[in-house]
Amino acid sequence: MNYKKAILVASALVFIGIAGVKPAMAYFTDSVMAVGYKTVRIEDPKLTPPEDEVDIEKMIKTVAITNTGDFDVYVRVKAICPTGISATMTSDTKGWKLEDDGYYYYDSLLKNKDAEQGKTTSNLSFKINTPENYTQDFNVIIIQEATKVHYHDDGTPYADWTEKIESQQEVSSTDLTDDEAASATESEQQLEQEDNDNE
Amino acid sequence: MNKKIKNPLLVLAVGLIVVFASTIGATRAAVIYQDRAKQVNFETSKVSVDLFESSDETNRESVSESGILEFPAIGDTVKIGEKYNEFVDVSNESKLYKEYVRVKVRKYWVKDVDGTLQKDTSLDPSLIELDIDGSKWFKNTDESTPEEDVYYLTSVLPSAKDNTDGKVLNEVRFINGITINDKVTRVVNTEDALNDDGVAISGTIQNKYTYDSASFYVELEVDAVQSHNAEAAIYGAWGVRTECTAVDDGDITKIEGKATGR
Repeated sequence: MNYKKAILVASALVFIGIAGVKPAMAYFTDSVMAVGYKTVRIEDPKLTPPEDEVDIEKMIKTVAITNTGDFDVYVRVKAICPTGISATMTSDTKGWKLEDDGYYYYDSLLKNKDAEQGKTTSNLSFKINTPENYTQDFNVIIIQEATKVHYHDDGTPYADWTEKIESQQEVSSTDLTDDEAASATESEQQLEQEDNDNE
Repeated sequence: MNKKIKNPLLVLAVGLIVVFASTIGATRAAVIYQDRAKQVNFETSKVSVDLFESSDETNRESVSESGILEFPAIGDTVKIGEKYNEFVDVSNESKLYKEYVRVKVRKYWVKDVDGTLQKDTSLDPSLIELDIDGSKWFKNTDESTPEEDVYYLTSVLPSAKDNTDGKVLNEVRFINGITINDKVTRVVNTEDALNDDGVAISGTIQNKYTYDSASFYVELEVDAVQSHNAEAAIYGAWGVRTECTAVDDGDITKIEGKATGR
């Protein structure tokens, strides 16, 4: 190695040494970082009416709804009857209120399926009224709808019924046996938004 | 000394030895005699900042060591639209110095794609809503992007020694609540429902929520700089031109020419 090469190597070492020196900090500073995350789950509410109770002698149909989905929901129910037939809420029903749109609204939200309490409504009983000496067969359709709970800024919950989902069951005057009524309640949840809009 | 050195490698080796030797700390040879009365203990104070997270007074914790925000108010299930009591405070941990602070906030959504977490830029970060007190914190919109905002505390943050009469002055609230806007429940793709065999069920549709299973991320980066020689220090540390009411410890009245409201 000649003299020039040695000078070159020495210069390179000096450069490396200078590069290793940290720049002087002119001002006192400090910095802290943190990160966090949570996962959002969103899906349609799921409702399951529990076993149906129909008192054929007194023509009283009773429904109650259980939230089997992952979200807290509000629920409402409507009874659709043929002309001349009516279904009215019995006086012993608690927690339900008939509004001008013909729906019966449950006054509390239903907790999600993981909750220990508060995920099933109280019973809503309908007295089905028929004209005297009415002998024809008829169906009464019970529609139950749910919508996810939303929250105002102050944390108070509210319902947005434009996001509702619905299921329905049909009560027939001819075959109201307990077993069949129960099976009717287990029908799958259906998204019938278009049908709802048409109603 | 005029003798020519024939082996330059020898010179190089000697030079290297001198350089390395200079890096070794010298031992103190002197014996010091000192009276206790003359002994002075001191430590260098420094600018220091920290973030504290809480949902109430009982679970307040520093996040500087873990670097993780736990979101204690939210729990396991995120209720859409509900404002959670998720509090984040900025604290001046310096024993002596007042300081200026700013916080960079990054918000974004992440989805699991085939087992890999990927940032999903098609999801709207603005739906991750943080309640930040605009009277104390100035958002410099020049530095804002859809994903990031930079907030400046427009007054100096006192140190712990400035706390008097039980008043905690060295802390300031940054986040006063967090909400996931309920618009996330309205972004829906409607698809044909499939049976167990993957075949479309005629006449049946199902909703696919775009934000379902997405994770919202919040990143906070708090920077502190000394309050002495304020404008120069802020510019030197952060590269931001400011105007302050005093050379030292003043309020920040303008940031990049925009009034901060101070």
